[in-house]
Amino acid sequence: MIVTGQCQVVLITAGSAGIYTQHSSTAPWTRPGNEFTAPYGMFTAAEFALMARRHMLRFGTTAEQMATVAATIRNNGHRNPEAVYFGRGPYRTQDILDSRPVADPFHLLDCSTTSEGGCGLVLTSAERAADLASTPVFILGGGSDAYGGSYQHAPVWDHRGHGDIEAGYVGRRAARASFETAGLGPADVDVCEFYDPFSFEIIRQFEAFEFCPEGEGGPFVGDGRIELDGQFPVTTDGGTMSFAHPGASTQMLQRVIRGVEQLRGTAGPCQVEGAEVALCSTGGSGALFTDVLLLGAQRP
Amino acid sequence: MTILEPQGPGVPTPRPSQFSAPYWEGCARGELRFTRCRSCGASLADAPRVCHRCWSTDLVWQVSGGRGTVYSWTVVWRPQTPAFVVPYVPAIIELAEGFHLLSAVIGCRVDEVREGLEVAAEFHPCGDDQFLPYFRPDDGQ
Repeated sequence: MIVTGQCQVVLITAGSAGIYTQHSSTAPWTRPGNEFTAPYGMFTAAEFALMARRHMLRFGTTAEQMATVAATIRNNGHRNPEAVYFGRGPYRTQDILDSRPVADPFHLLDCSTTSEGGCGLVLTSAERAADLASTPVFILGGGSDAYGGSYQHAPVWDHRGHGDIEAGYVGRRAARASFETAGLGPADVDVCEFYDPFSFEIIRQFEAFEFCPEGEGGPFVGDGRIELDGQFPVTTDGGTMSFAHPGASTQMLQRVIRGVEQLRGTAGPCQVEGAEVALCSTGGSGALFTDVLLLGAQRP
Repeated sequence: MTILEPQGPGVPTPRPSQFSAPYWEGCARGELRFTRCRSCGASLADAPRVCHRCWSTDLVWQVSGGRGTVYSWTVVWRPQTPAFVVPYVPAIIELAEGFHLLSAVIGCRVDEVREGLEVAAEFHPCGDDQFLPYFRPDDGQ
């Protein structure tokens, strides 16, 4: 709408309050109302576990590799004064594995937390932004990808819909579209602000977005590669696991907010030195959708 | 270790729509029904109105033999609500007719569930006059 001149400035906000404290059931928004899934005791963690299991069976991905992801993201939140779980770590991989089982292969600390929160984003043209007091960040590309309604059908990794990409790699079309628009590739990304509903999803996104070949996401997240000083730092505010997990789409917009902070150099103790390009994502395999937004510090 | 069983009273019961009613009527009669696309031949779960593969609306109900294999599963230790007895094992079953159905495995221990485990459908009461398909390891009888 900005490009076509229908408007000059767009404000996007999201927020949710009313903290959830009933501990005998999973959070209300994680429980499906669907006739084909609710009677079997499904909830979000179980949906995503069914996708993670297929990856383990096919590629030998391990609970330890997933726990490495969870420990890394939780340690980012531990260092981030803005995070709900600031100072609650540090976490070792073994701490994740020692937490109680929720929906195999996920332990408690492989899963997102719940919280209140809100965030907002102002969009405008590069011309308009040139006069503003704040440092603008530029949208380089974006895309959406989905394989049907969330939490209404079995999340089948191998389903292909009308195309040739498996549902397990939902988001690949969005990433390809984003990179093509930007004229960039995964190697150009400095910060991976990936959505982190469950630890496995980070492994999956490195493969879906073609940072690494299919099946190699497990080893890929090892050796410090996704740490703040590694090649591809992930989810640098602590994500839904540690920073905050409000509902009403706040949790997903947060990834874009963090991408902006990183490229502005205002990410505090979790700042990635010299960050110029950030890939922000939302959704996940268990929900059968993944969106991608590519941000840059320089005007394209 | 305990043998997995169907869930008891208090769990969510299906609320059929006009599109899914034939599926649940089948369950009450001990039939596992699915949708066949008459245009491309795909077999489809969950009473779709449009074929996922070719977008045809020329769909007919058929009855599955109820036999398949475990495609994926999770062992749940933290239940959706306290009405569920843990552990339980939601699973995706790949039916012999080719469609994938979300259900749950019963009749064995959690450590006996594996990829490719041969299973057969059986129907258990769930709410008022409703029956829910579960899958039990199939001894071939």
